[in-house]
Amino acid sequence: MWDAIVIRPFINVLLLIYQLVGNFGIAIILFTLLIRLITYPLNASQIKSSAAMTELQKDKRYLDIQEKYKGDKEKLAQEQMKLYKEVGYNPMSSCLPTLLQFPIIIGLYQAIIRAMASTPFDMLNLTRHVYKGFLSIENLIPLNNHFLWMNLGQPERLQLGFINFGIPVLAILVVVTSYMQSKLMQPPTSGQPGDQTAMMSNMMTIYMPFLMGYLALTLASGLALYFFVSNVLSIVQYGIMGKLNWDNLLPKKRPAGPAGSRTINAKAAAPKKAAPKPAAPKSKPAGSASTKTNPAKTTTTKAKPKKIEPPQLKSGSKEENES
Amino acid sequence: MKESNRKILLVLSLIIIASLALTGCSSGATSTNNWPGVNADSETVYFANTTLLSLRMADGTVKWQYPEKADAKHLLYSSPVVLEDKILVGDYGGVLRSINPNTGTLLWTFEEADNRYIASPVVTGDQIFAASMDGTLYALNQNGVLQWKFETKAGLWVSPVANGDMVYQSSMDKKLYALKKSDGSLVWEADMGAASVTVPVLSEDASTLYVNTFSNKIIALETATGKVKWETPTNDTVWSQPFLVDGLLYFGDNAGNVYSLDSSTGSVKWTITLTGAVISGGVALADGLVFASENGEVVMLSTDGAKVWTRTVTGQLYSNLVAVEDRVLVPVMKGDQLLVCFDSNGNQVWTYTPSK
Repeated sequence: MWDAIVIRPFINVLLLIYQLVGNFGIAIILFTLLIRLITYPLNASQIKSSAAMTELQKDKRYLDIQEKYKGDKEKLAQEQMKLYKEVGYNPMSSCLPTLLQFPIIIGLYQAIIRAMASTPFDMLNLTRHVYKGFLSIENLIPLNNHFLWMNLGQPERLQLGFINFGIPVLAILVVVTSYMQSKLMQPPTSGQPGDQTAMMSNMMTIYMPFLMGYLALTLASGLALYFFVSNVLSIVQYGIMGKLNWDNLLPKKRPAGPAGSRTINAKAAAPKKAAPKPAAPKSKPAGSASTKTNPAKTTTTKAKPKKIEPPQLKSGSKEENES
Repeated sequence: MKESNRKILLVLSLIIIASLALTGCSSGATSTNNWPGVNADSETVYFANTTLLSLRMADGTVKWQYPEKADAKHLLYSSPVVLEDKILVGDYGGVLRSINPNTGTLLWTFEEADNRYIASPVVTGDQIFAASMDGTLYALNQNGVLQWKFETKAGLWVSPVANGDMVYQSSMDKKLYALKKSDGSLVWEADMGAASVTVPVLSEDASTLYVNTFSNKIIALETATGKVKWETPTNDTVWSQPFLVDGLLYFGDNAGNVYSLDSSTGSVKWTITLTGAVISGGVALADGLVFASENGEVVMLSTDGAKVWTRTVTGQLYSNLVAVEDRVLVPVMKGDQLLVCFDSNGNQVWTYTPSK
């Protein structure tokens, strides 16, 4: 079913492009671009929706609700839904495009793998996926798997005469573009202590480039090429929509007031150590990223409502901790 | 559990699932997916399926395994060549290995190829011919020292055929090359119109080569000049290695047809359709011809094309069958038993099931 609806059509389109351009590397780039263009409206909708959510998270009403009902998840959810209705935000509007895109991305990925058949078994399967009458196996095979210095069916290494090992250029590019993508697309954080979205974004920013880099290093370079092109196209799409967050990528001075996620985490860190003594945070700034996150959790879960003043005051205390 | 801890665990889980999904989806991209290669003599079966196993022909028990553990960069799938003093087998890392047949220890390696070996090497006289996916045919001496090499424009998926002073190599660049064995110089080349995934078959008098192509044809060429003698269309793509017995060519196709062709004229003597695609090459035993279809059906046919017996094996059958005296070895992919040995009456003699 999945094979007939997604994989087979994708493989045939990819091979059709290959037949037109005669190079599998260029075919992968054009195919990825084509799929990106087709899914552009879905992506755009998701980006807009995420941006709207980010804005909403900075809204005072949203922050008030978080603070007021943090001990009662059910009530919190109800109040959040009320607020969403009030401002006309549909929480499904960011999930749905992602869900719709997911099978397309998996299909694209699997089509590229299958089209790079480099064993008899894979080749046999590939020939069985070609629509007879649409493409001719006779003309298609052999597939030219060479692109620049790469054999797209093998892990990529650039061999230079003066060093005795291959440089994984594509894997490095995948790591760099994955990192850039994560950073550039990371929305500004809410400014709340222990902002979990920010924590998750930070974790993804750290782990995903390494994961993608490892895959690019070990899998066929045709897939690494797809990862790289896909990253670049994502960045370009965000750029076209004016949503690139360059502040995340470029080094910046620590702001005095509420700002980026690191500052927020640092703010959140301090109260843990200083919980019994509200004045202490100034003298105990948070250190590494890891020590920033845990205290934030403690602050949230210990929930000493008596000590926490109304939301405005809480904001104030954050600023105080920051400085 | 704290909410934030839960979220972090969720993110980590998503990353792990994503990595598993990506690596799981990409098994084909790491070259780990192929059917096993088998060869045998009267004493021993050599079974290449990531590693090379030496099994006793009598009962299918393991003598030795090389290497002890599969090396992901040097997987062994191509059928080994068995000589008195060595076994030759190429791997997926582009290394041709010579292995002691008694002990399973490595004798020498040839590592010049830039890509994997799918085809088995061929040995004739004092020369070894190894066709690599890098598109090059390498000629070596018996110690693995390079004598010459001949480059084609695409990968070499099939073994060459050597006869007299000549060696014939079919390439995925859609050409068949005739080379001098002594120095690898080109004598002639023939454009076959499409790639081929079966080894050319040499006629009994060495005057004709029979080549199957992806254009759904079997073509007979003169070995002296490369000129086409005749062409016969097939109903579907041919992956099944043809073989020649008493002037008749036998092979199967992707639609499940088994053909018997007169090798002098190309006329079809008979066809019979099995229940699944015939990808593996069949064999001739004294009592008849044995073919297997992809879905596990193993049949013995008389030379008139009548079914003598049918057996079913659990798994998928793609590898060429191997005949040793009155036995036939059936390699299995995606089955619990990876090798099944039948006698000429269709009785199962033994099976090889890997220990888990």
